[in-house]
Amino acid sequence: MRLFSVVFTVFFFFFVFFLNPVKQRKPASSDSSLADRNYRRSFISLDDSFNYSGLTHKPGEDGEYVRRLFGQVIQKAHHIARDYKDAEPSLYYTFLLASLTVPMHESSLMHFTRRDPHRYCYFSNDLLVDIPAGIAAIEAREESRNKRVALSNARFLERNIERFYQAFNQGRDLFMSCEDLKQYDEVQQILFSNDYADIGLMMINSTSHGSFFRAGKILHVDEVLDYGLNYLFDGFEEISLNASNYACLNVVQDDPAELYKRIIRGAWAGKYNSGQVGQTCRFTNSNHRFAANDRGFIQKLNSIFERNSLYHQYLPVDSLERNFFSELIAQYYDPQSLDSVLEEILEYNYHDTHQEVNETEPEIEIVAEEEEIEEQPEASTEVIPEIQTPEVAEERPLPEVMVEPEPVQEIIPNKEFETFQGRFRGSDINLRILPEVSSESYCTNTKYLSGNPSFRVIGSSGDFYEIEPNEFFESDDSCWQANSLFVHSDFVELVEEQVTPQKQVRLNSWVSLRDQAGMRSSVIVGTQGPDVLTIVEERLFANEYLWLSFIDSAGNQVWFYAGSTGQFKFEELP
Amino acid sequence: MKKLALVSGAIVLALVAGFYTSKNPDDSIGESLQRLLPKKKKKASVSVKLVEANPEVLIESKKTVEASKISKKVADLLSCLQDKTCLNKHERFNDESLDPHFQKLVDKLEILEIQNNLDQISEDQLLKMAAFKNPALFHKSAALLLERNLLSLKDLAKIDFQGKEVKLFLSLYRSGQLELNPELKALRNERIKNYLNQDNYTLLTTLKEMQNLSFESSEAQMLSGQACRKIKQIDSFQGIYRKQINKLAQKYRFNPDC
Repeated sequence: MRLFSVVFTVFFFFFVFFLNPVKQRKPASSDSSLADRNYRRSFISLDDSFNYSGLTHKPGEDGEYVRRLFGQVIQKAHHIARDYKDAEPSLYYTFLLASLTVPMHESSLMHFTRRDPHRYCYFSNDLLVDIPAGIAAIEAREESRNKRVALSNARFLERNIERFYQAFNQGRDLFMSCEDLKQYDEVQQILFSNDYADIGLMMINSTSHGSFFRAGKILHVDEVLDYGLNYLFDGFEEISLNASNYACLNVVQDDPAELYKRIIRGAWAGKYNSGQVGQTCRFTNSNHRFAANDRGFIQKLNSIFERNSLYHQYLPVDSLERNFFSELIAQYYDPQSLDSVLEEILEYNYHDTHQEVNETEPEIEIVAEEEEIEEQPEASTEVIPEIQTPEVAEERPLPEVMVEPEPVQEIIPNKEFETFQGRFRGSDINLRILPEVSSESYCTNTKYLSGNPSFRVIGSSGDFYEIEPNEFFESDDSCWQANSLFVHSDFVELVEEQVTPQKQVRLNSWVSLRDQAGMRSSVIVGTQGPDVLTIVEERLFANEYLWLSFIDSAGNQVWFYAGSTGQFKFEELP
Repeated sequence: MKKLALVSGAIVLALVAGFYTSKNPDDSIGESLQRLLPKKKKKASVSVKLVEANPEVLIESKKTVEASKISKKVADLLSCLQDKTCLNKHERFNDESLDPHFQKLVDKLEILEIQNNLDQISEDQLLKMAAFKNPALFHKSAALLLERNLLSLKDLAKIDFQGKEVKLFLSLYRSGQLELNPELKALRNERIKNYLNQDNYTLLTTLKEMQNLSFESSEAQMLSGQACRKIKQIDSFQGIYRKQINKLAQKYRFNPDC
């Protein structure tokens, strides 16, 4: 009997150990991550055929992910609201706070995650490969609460993934089943809302923001942040300046922070969540049909003030970002000493690592004019109901584990120095007399320049390039009289010595401008009249249809359809 | 023999007990044991270069699709957008400027453009499209209108632009060519004065868009002066307006006195 007991005990623990490879020898925190704050079925897994890019979460690296996301949000929000920084700092910092709050509320800071499909590919991908069959299989189950919940979720997916397909405009055979995805150790996953109508970090609705999806931008985190934060700012700015039009913003100033909190709440409730600034004061009506949405939002906003938000849980305690966040919460409505810490965040490169990028060979797809010419227009009076998603009964929520803050890794990009012709990348860039971030080294800012001049990069020092101001830097400021200035290398881009041959053309026609060549995946961004243009790039499709590109006055590369062979809208200048 | 049986039984029992206490509930015994086998590693390729979107081209190929059918579709879309019968409605989110039907109109115009059949669409129709103030449709229809008749700018000027919308009209002047026509230049300045006198948000967006236009110094100073008088009546956030005035003053070298 003793022999039996000994052998049993030894082999029992042996088999427990070996039959649980997932759990063996890993800290408890890796079992649960930021991504687990959303249902597994809300993540749809992507295979290698998708083009995607941007910051990607990975289990076990929550702190670093949140830190980088925090930095990227601050940088983008700064770029959008930079005019307010000196002019109206309270509004500026309030917008930074709003920019941090919205993605935390919308998606628990999740866009992409990269995880093991064996464990985390669940429900949605399997249903997507054959929705009718999937629904039929659920319906065939025995009656139970699990079945009702699964069926409800399947119906949401059936309805709203169709809207996604229409908006995304890349066909319907996009996703693989979980079984097929298990050939990979890990897969890129993107977050959908519980009803599959909204997607990603900013929960952008595929029906309402069709042109954004059509351009494929939902799969690029940078674009998602740009679009979502700009949309938020549209409402934020309008109601701030026209505050007298909104009763909920006409507050008595015994609480100086109250106005700015209400601006945040109103900007979200109005423009962002309702699509109309007319709904700005929705949050004051506890009987409103969507009052629950506003209650959810204020809970998240209050979690920031109560210091138990997701940022407080995941930002490393000794990090620059955590320090800035604490100061921002305390001072946003009356900033006194935020600028110096902010400066470092604005200059840091948050894009260097933790970027997942998947490139596929671009396909030149000749798409015949396949638009079904409907005899009658869509007289759609369909009212899309607001879906109250029930609990997912079948899915066991993974235990919440407080993740210990991770040590900050300072990753300094290594760049080899070489003399070259450069140009500023971005706007509102500080130029310095010393290669360091400090108030003493500050000289001036590119916002005082007109246009985007090129310059000679003549040296480097650490993270900074040394540049030679030239005759294009017209200014009375003595700063420009210096022999050289320093700018952080992240804000300088190489001006290619050998570029696609630039030519000058005289455009003879009015054309609409797009952000990319081609029509199907690009967005119209402006209009251009007859003028002499310097063409920086051209593309000819199907040997007949020509697209030309130039740099507009804002420094953006824009494209226009220049006509078909023999019927061009321009003449080339010598 | 007895010992052998005991040891074997202990191992089997330990295996079963170990399996049931530790396995993933969804796994079978086979799957659990399969995990003991070494897995094939698939390398994920990672780089930090952004990906370009796939270019696509839309060409006319079905010559049987008559331009008249497309133009009828345009007319029907225009009609249902004007009487709002085809606007998508969501219970909660309703931003009319984002309605997908506007993009459908843009698509139809572009098909006609590639087919060289834009004569199927009248100026009146183009003006109605521009009046929706959907950015993509405005730029498309405005370009087509101005291509036919530069003076249709006057009709575009009559559209009631507010807030961010003023950028749509004023951006037509960005290239600096329209100002060569005195009548159109005067039209621009008259519109700017009108926008500067509207609400605070419209005032600011007008000042912002003025940074992208070309003025004579006296013009810039005159328009800035009007804006300053308006700003003095605003009781909050005056700094942001003054910032725009100061930018103009720096560019055109005048004393803002605001």
